[in-house]
Amino acid sequence: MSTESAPSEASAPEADSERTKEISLDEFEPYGTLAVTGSYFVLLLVLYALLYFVEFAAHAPHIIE
Amino acid sequence: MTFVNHYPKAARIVKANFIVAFVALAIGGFFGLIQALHRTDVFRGFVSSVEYYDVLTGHGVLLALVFTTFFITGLYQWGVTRTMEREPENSTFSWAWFLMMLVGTTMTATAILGGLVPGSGMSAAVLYTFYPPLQAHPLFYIGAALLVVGSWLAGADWFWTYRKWRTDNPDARIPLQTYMVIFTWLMWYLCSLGVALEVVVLLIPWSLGIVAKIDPLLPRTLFWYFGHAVVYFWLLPAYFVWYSILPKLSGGRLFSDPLARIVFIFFLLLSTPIGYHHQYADPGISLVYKMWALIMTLVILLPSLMTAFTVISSMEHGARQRGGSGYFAWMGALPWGRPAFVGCALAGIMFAAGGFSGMVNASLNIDMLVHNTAWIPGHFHLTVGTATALTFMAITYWLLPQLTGKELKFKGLALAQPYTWFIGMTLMSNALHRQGLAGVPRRVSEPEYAGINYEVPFGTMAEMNWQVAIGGIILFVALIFFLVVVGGTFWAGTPATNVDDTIPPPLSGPEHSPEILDNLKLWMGVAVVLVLIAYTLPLAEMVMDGLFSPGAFPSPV
Repeated sequence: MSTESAPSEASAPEADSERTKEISLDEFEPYGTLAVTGSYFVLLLVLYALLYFVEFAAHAPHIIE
Repeated sequence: MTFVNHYPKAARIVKANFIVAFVALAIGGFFGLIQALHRTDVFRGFVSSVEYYDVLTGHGVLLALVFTTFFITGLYQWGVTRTMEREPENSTFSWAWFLMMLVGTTMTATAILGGLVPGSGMSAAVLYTFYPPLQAHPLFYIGAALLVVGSWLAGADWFWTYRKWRTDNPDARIPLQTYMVIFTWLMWYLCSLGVALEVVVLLIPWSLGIVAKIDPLLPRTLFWYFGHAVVYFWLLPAYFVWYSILPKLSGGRLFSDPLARIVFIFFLLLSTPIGYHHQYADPGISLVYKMWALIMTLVILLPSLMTAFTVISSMEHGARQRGGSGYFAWMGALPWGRPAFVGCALAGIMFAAGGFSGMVNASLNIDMLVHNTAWIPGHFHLTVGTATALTFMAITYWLLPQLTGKELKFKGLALAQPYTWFIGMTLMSNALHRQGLAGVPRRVSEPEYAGINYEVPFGTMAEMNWQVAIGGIILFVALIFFLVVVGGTFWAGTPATNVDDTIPPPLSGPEHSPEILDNLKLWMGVAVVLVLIAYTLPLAEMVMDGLFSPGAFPSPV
């Protein structure tokens, strides 16, 4: 058993057999990560604004006339 | 040849911890089903509405404290052993901490279950938070103390292994998995000191009748000193899996080892001094400290967002190596047919949703909208109830063949389990969040009150109740799937011929980071200073009245 060793085809059959290519650190451009985390960030802002302005501020204590 | 062949002593300890964890998961999960049906008034025949609180306590303690702690000690024993490449230094010591935790758990569980046995003379319906004025049988507190002290000794065992390894490798960087174990446990030592003081100095003498009254605020503050950091005690082992194993399961490699180290440093520094954000509604805590907690809590979002970036990019690396492309389409190339991957990935998606509701909880003003409502269990069933629990279940599918030398049984059931859990939790958690916005209180057995009509923002109360009940049933079915797979593998698994147990090196390794990241004394020192800043004055103010004063009697008396 190896310690954080290089991948071994012999002992990691399932995942490695489905791999079609090797991508090094320099070749890797994680723009998919940018798209996913950017979308999540926008979603957070929208939901937070909804909670703040609609659920919280609109129900804040007020004078009953 | 896999882990069990190389390290048979460690494998036995890991398996023993996992078995206790899964027994607690089974009982606690069944209690959860009872609650989901009882609270929603779908079926109230299991227990009375008074006994509900014994069941609620059992659910919280057995899942949030026992299942998590035993799984974590097992998982970390595996991680330390494989990366240090050493068996435990002394097996007797390892079994001693395991047995101490087991004895403590048995005592605590006995006290809780005693509440369901008429005439037992025992009761511990104090919920998993167990602070006064609710009072439990002394067995509950003594058992909880043994569980915590046992976990301290488990950490000592791993530090012992680390010291031996360091002697042999004076200049090497700490391997990432052991690094994560060490930083989790440094945080655990720092935060669990609070609950240990609460239990040993205040609650045990009080429950034994040595003192009649207790100051409700001091033990409550000591509990929350521990009570938010314990969230990271649950979460960091899930991060351990997401950083060190999930990239491999995705078909790729960890994007950045240094980022993982920085994230764990952040959690050591910031987990503990933010406990006041659970006490926003408490009188007796200065607003200054609540503001401090608010700011620190928002800062601690940063390491979780860094984790989101690193883990997602590592998964993307795997997907692209598997032929994926596009901005979003690459996700389709991930191995959605592998149970261990699916469980971790779905747990991560649920955690992202929990991140949003956590931001609301952390906000000093908006928290008042949801404080002590059903929103809170809605939130933590996404975090500890899915991000942690589903990750633990999923990674069990990957670890079991390494620990037993057997093929995973019922792979179809194992694959269905995380999807089933995800559907059940989606139903239950969204409804709990919305009920919280309508003002439905948490914890109570019968949340309906004569003359009170909850103002539901969208949907109806009946629809939300059905979602909670059906979600709870689906979650219980998913739990049965998991137990069948684990039990089947343990007792009826066939010998494995080719165990998948390697982890490829990160794309960017520790050599790309300064060695100061591995300076344990420095980061522990800074963590202690931050705790002293946050807690010295408020605790001193509370103690100056006298430890048990101003006092209140147990409730209900």
